[in-house]
Amino acid sequence: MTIETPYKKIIEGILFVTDEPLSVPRLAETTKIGEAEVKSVLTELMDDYAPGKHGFHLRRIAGGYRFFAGEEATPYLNELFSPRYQKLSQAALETLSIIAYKEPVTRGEMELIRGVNCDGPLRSLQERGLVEERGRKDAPGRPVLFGTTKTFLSVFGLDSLMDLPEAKWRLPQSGETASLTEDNREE
Amino acid sequence: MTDAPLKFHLDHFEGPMDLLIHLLEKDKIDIYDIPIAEISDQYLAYLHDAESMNLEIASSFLLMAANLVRIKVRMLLPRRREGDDGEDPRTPLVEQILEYRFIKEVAGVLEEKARKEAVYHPRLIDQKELAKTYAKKAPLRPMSVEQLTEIYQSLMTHYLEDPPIVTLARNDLSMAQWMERVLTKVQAADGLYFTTLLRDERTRGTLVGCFLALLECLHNERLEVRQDTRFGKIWIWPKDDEQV
Repeated sequence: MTIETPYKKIIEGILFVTDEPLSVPRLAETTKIGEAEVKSVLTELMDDYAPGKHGFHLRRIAGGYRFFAGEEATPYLNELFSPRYQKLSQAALETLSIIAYKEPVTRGEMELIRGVNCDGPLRSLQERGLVEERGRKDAPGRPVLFGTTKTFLSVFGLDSLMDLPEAKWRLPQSGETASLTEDNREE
Repeated sequence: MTDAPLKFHLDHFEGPMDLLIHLLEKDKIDIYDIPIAEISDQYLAYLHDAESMNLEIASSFLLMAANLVRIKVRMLLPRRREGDDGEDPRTPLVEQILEYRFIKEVAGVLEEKARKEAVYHPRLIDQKELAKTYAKKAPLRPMSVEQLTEIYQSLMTHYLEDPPIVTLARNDLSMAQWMERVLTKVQAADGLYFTTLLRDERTRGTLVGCFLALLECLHNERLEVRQDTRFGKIWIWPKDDEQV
């Protein structure tokens, strides 16, 4: 048996009333409890609220912790809320994949990989909050850089970008990607 | 190989890379040894066959066509011994194909992940409501049921009184007359609540008149007001001239 600290109840309570994943640093900052303590409390809570123990469980997602309803309730919740999932187009999925692997990345770099204009998919990704601007690249024209958001991680059930399949071949670093341009320069 | 290559429309492809990969996969070509001449011919045949393309899409397909032809030409030219690193002119294209193929694969993985994730319902909260409850500014103080009942009763008592007979006459009191009326009322009662003052004004016009007169009286320092608690009752009393 683990010794119940007041910290456990505090963090449990906070997680209960938040509907975004809360990270360890954020919890530590809010509660003024050390990160190590927060982590150990979270380990206990993850165990207390492991899938199957209750009608809901605690999950690590998008770099934080959040409560989710158990799978048993899914069909009924769908009935209750009738969520309307919208599918992303193939173009949007491809663009999103490039951003996820190469962020921060410019539109030009995405277009070089896909070989087509990425305006449309990029706009729809931004509208859905999956992708956001990340400043500008220090290059001619100061192109806007794009990166993925926490919503992206949540929607795809990822804790971090590390959860994506490992790049099976070496992806050229940005700049290096410009194989065609480089080729042109030689001539 | 030339059996039926022209049956597709370009809209079926995400772009030139997609078309190129389709051509390679169709004939199970080893991408590390692409027969450029053959592939570029096939590719161009597709472009020829495409009847309608918007300019934007067309340009991207044409750019790839140009690139393929350029590689083809460079393959035909005798290779320089040194200086050019003897690099296969196809290498950048191969890299591009590999990268795009990987991205397509990931796109599939992402689609699958999103589908699986849709099974999970996260805990949802009405953030706006919560924000109101925990708003840093002016949170609502908890109130007892008794207080609420009291308010309701006082409201109902007044409401249940017989409404006065209203004569629909034009009310053309001047501001001075209104002020006189308000002052008399306050002085007669030697101070009263704001709600009491307005209670008898039954129409919007008279309410406005009464309220404006009250403001004017405050401005002229004929009356004084006090409110002890936020949203509490407002007490109005005549200003004592001697004290000024």
